[in-house]
Amino acid sequence: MKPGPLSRPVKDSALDREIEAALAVNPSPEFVSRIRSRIAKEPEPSAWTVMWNHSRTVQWVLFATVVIGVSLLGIAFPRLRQVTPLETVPSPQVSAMLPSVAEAELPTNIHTLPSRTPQIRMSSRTNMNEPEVLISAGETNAIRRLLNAPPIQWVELQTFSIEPKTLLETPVMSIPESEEFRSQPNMPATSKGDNQ
Amino acid sequence: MYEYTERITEALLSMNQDLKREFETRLAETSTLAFRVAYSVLRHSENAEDVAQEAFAKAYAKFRHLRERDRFRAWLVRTAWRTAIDRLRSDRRRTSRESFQMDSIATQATPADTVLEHERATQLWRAIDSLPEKLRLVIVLAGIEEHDIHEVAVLLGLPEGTVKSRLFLARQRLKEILQ
Repeated sequence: MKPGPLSRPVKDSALDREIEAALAVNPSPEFVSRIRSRIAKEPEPSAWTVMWNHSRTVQWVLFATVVIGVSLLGIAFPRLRQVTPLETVPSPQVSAMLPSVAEAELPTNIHTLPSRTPQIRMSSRTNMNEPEVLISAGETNAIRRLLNAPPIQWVELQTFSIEPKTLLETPVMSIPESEEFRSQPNMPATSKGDNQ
Repeated sequence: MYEYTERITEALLSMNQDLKREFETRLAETSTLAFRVAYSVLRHSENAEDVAQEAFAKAYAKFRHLRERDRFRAWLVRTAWRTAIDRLRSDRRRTSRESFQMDSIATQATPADTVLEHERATQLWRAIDSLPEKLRLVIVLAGIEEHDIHEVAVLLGLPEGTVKSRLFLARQRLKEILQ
């Protein structure tokens, strides 16, 4: 902005006085009465609205009633309270074994690539709500042995053929006679005669 | 039960009457403040009165939450300022602004002095208008009713240091423009 023809050095006090003088404008005498009449035109709140606006206590009492009611429902119907989310109870055996598994050294020939998603890896490590996998002691030992085992060396196997063998004659088994069968009246004395 | 409800309703309505009385007190205290804040933006008395009236109507609707004196004044100032700026943007009546009235200066001055002071006041308003809104609000509030830094800080809800620095910056810029 270009300085005007009336430009002159300005001091703080002079500037303040000028601003005060510029703002020393008073409203018309009817101003306040106009505001009053405007407010009088505003719709009066109904009794229920007033009650609701003023009744913070009533709102708190209603909230407390709902909370108490819900808790009483839980007491009246204990089965509802028994419905709890599945929880994993760590087995003492597994807990005792897990550190030893974790401390096991991995084989040196396994090369792991750096993860491109460290956040995901961190979150999976820190997610303690995952259910535990229960492994028996035998399986744990087997896994430990597998981890401690030396690297696998592939062995080339030689091919060989199997000659077909002649079928053996099936042995004929004779059924021995039983004393019980003989004692029954309707049964023949021997089965040999019937077969013949 | 019905009598009990009636009694509660009467008590609450009487509380409403108390609120009205309090509002009357606040209105008497702050009507000029709201008008001047609006006037500093609009520079038109009638428009400024309309805006201040609107701000008071809004304040009345929310008065239950604004019973505290400082809180009411701060809320009213901000509302009047925003409403005035909105009005200015919508109307675009800058050209119809009233010429600045220097009643206090012009009482014993010669016509030539009056013209000079009038020109000077016009320059001042132009300089104030050229300030950023943050600085303008601070310098205007400091100029209304001789508010000190603490009072301006309370009105704007700002730390006193911030108000002080803004006031200093605003004065510097105004001096640069006016010189």
